[in-house]
Amino acid sequence: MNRHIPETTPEWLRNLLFKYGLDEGILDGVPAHSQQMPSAPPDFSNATTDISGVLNRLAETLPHDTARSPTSVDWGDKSVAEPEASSSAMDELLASLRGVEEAAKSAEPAEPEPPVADAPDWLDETSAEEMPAVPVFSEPDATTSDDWLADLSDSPTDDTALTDEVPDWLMDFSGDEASVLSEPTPVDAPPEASPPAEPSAPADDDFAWLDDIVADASSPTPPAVSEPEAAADAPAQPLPADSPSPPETEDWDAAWLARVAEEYPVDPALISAETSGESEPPAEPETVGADEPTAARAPVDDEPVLTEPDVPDWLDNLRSVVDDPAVETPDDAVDTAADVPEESAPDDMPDWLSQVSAEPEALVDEAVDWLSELRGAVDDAVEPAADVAETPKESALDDVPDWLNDLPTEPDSLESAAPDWLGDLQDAVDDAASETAEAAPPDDFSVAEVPDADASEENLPALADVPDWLDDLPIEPETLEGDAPGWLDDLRGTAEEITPEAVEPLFDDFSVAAEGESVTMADTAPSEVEPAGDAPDWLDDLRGTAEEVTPETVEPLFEDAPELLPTEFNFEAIPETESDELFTDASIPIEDEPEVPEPAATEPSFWDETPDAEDLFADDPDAFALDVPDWMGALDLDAPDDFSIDELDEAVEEIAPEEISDEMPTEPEEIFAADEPPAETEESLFDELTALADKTPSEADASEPAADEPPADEPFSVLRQSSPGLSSGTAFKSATGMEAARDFYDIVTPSPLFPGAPSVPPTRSRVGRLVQTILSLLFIIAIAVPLFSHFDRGGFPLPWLEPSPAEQDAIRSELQTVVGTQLPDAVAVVSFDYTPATEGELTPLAMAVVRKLLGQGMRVIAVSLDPEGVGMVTAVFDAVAPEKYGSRLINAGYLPGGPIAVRSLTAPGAVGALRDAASGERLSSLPAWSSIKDLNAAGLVATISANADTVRWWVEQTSVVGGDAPTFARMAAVSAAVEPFARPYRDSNQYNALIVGINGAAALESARPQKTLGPASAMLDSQSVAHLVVMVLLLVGTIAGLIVKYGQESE
Amino acid sequence: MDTIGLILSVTLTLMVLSYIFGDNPLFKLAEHIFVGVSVGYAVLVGWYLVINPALFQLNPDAGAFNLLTKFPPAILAFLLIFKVRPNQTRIGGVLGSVALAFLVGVGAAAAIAGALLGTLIPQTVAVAGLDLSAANPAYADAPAFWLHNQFLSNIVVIIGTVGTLFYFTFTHRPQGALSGFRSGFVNFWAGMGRWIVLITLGALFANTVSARVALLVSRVQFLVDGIRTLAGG
Repeated sequence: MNRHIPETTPEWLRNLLFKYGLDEGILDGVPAHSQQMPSAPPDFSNATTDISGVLNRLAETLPHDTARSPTSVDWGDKSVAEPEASSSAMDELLASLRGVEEAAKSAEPAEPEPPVADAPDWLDETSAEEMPAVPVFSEPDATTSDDWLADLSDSPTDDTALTDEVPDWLMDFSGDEASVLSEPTPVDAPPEASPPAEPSAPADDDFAWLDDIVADASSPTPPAVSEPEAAADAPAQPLPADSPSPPETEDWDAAWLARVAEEYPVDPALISAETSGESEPPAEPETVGADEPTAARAPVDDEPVLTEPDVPDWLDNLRSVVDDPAVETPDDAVDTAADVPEESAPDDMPDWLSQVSAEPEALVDEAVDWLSELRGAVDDAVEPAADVAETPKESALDDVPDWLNDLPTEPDSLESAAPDWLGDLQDAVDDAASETAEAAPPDDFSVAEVPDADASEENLPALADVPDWLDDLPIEPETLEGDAPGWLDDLRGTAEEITPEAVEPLFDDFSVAAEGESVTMADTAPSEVEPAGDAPDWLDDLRGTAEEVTPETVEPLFEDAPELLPTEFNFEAIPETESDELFTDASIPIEDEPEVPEPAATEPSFWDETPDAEDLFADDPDAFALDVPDWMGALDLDAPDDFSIDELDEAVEEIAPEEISDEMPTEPEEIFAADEPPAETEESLFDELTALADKTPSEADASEPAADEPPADEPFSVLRQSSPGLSSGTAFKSATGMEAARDFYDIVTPSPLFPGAPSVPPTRSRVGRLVQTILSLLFIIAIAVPLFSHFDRGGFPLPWLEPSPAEQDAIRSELQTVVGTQLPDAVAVVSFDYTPATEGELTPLAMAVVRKLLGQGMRVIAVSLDPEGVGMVTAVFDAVAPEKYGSRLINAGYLPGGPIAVRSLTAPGAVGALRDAASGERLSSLPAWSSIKDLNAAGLVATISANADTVRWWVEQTSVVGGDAPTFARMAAVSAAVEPFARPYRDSNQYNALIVGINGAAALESARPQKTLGPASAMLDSQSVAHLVVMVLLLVGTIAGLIVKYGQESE
Repeated sequence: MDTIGLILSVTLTLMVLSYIFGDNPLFKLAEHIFVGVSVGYAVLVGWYLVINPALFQLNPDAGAFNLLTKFPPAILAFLLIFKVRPNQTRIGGVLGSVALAFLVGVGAAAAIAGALLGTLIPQTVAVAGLDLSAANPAYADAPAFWLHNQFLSNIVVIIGTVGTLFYFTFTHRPQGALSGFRSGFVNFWAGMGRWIVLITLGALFANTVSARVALLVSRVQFLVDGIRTLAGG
């Protein structure tokens, strides 16, 4: 059974189907009518099913879109334009175009007027300069067509503009065609004859004009629709009042249309049911009234009525062609088609097709070669899809590109050069040539003409962009199904909603590039590069529809490779999926990606940088196997093609860490920075690596590496050698591949030391550590000896170990100023701001201070800004006068908050709110301390601190108490380490007294009238000895260091 | 009990001093014990002396005012729990930040005010009020040594203060007519300040050494006294 598999559904028919909620695939499987050669009109004699049958079936079986008028024809993009508005606007435009054409024809009768208004979209995109020999049909663009149509209507007299927009093949009409087109179209009723406000009822009817065709089969001059009828047929949405009313009728009804009507009579009942809205929702407001089909059916026998707006302009032109007596009727075409194909071709054929018909040999020379190669690549890449073709809608037949359908018609010339499937196509063409009628019917009719009575709905194939006149080619579906690549089906199915955002990551990794270049990714990819400008329609569809891809729609494309879906392209999975075939066989242009040589022969430059690389491959090539790094040798170089990078990574991670350091010399950047190829061991290394690469099947036929191979790619050749699946360098040259390779390189190579980095200082020798230990012990012994000797206690005080009289006088003077002036029972708030870490130094000092205060008759309230200071208070109080706790001494505990705590003590009543750390009672509740409410009630505030901050806090935060200047004296007993920080406050008299360290404590002890030696005085001897030892050691150490230094310099 | 405590203290002290022979487990053990005991002690002090009295011990004189004085600190203290983990949730971070903001804000205000009133202004006034003349009535009764010492000290303070300030002058190379003079002036005083800084750092280090030697002496004295006690001496 010959089936007609058109690739392009006419826009108007697509819109028509869309209006009825149908997919254009409904037309798939419509039994083909007579075969149509590009140079010959189709034959309608063998048609067994007429268009009315198809339309009636549509009307009966399919639901109507209630949102659209069943009588409107949306000539524009169905997804963009408003249905009614578009229809009305298009009708208006067509009407105006009719007027424009008439005006142009009247002005220049000899100028052919192209059938621009309703020309198929694929013809709009035809460009003579782009495809001089082999036509390329790009994406149909209704908007573009509308534009140039609008231009035509706007500037009816501008012939130049008109010819610029009109397809070239239409402009190439000459002679007879021009005369035919220049014939004034007989119009029964001029536009102005119609009422301006009268809506063009037939314009909204899709089938009315078809019915008119049928009804007008026998009448050359259909009468105009009467005004009442038109008014009755007026749709619910009238046209604008000022819109030009199209001519109501024409006498253009061609003879061939009449014959069509005769042979395929329309069932009036079906049409009536269709147009009257019986099968439609009753609430359809724009349904054509029942009178309209009546008006259309009434003159079936005698007055075929066809309203102008329903007829595409190109049908007008074709009608004119048919009216030409030079054109034979379809009845005669059966006999004459084989003889006069060229004569009938120009009527409905672009000029380039005429050239094809006229010079098939030239076309064969130009196109067959690369077509054959492409066909060969497709055959290699695609397995027969017989099962796929079982479902008509999934048939791969519609994947045959247009340009393949446009093959030359000379069978003899094609048979020798074209592939088999082209031969089948040619056979179909031959069959069609024997049956082709001379007069070419409109393209859109050809779809509906079904010569095969066995046609059924389930055999309807999908429609594509094949020119309609080529749709008539009877092609064995089995043949084409086997030829169509399955991946093209996937591509076509998923590419309909592709968007650039979704496709971009994919193409980034494949380095989409300039024209004339293609991906050479997989082994199945054809080596032939197809220029982008010569891409057939189905590739243009792919490219055009790729703008609507969404991640969701891409998923079906990568069902076999879900790992490709993440944004970061996983090139490792490419060889394992058919996506690589998709991208490679589809000949997607790749930027700057010439033929990439097989990586097996690529020379890794870093190999030469290995210290012993030259020795490795010097003389004995056989030694290579032994000298190959272990990690590399462990790689399965004979692995099958499915060896993946993952396996490689695993193998390397297991093997490489210790051994790779000797083989991989430096960072990749150093390798990349190498401008020159490896010098000395290049040849031997190349031979060895080539031999190594020959072990892998995919690299057996590897080509020679390019001399100008980028050095940056060389480190990855190792990966390629180990991974036959990654036979192309494309992935490595992408950013992702490069990054992955760098990661791999970083893993298998150790981090190099910086050249200028200082070497790690040697650890201290055992002798040094021994000396250090001995000195430490001696230091401790020197400290302990005075403690055992009890020089002071034994009555043999050493003068140089005692506090100087001047120092004793200074401390005595300060204490006299601060403490000596205090009255008995005066309160001293002493803050113990030190911890056990400094207890050894400050506890003697604290004890001396507390004794001094108690000796003065003062009471002591101890606080602490450190939690551990509470214990220090207890220790001091227990050491000084534990019996006086509660009466003369009290521990108020820890004051949290640091400076805030000090600040809070300056508030009124803050001191009385303190609690005894032992009993928890407030000082205000204790009889001995109830008189103390705030800080100004104290006579002295002292801090015993080993922290410079606490010294500062007490000065800073007590500078203002209750808004007034403090009335109490301030004293600081600090560690020797804090003295430099506390001294300025003493010099500025912010602290009235400052006692520092053991020396101050010893001076304080010696200043007591009892002259008893305290712990500070006992420690002072040892501290003095320690200071002496420290000075000696510093001197000795300095001298020794100088000796060693000068000794090394002298050497 | 005292003997056990003494033995334990002596043992821990010796374990710490074992660092003379290098880092060893005994030193590490003593170090960890010291840190652990310090932290534990601080926690107990905080609970018994701060948290418990502040939250659960009412002031009989305050009456209803106890609720107003104890409830806000309790809320703020509770919110600090959300800052235990650094990666809190958004809500937890906000809640914890409330208490933390309160602490930081109040602390910053107190610190700034105290620094201005207690350090910056008084120190500036003190330096500016230095009297280099011996006729100062404050020094009327001072001995001659004191006067000479104080006079020299004031000179050092002035030079040191000015030089240190110039030392931390970070400006680009002066330009103009007196650029050379300015450059020389700044460089001179910056050099003086540099030496003052060096001497100050040396004094700090010497005082630190003296403090640490005092600590060592204290520990050695403890050991000597402890051994004597344990030995029955």
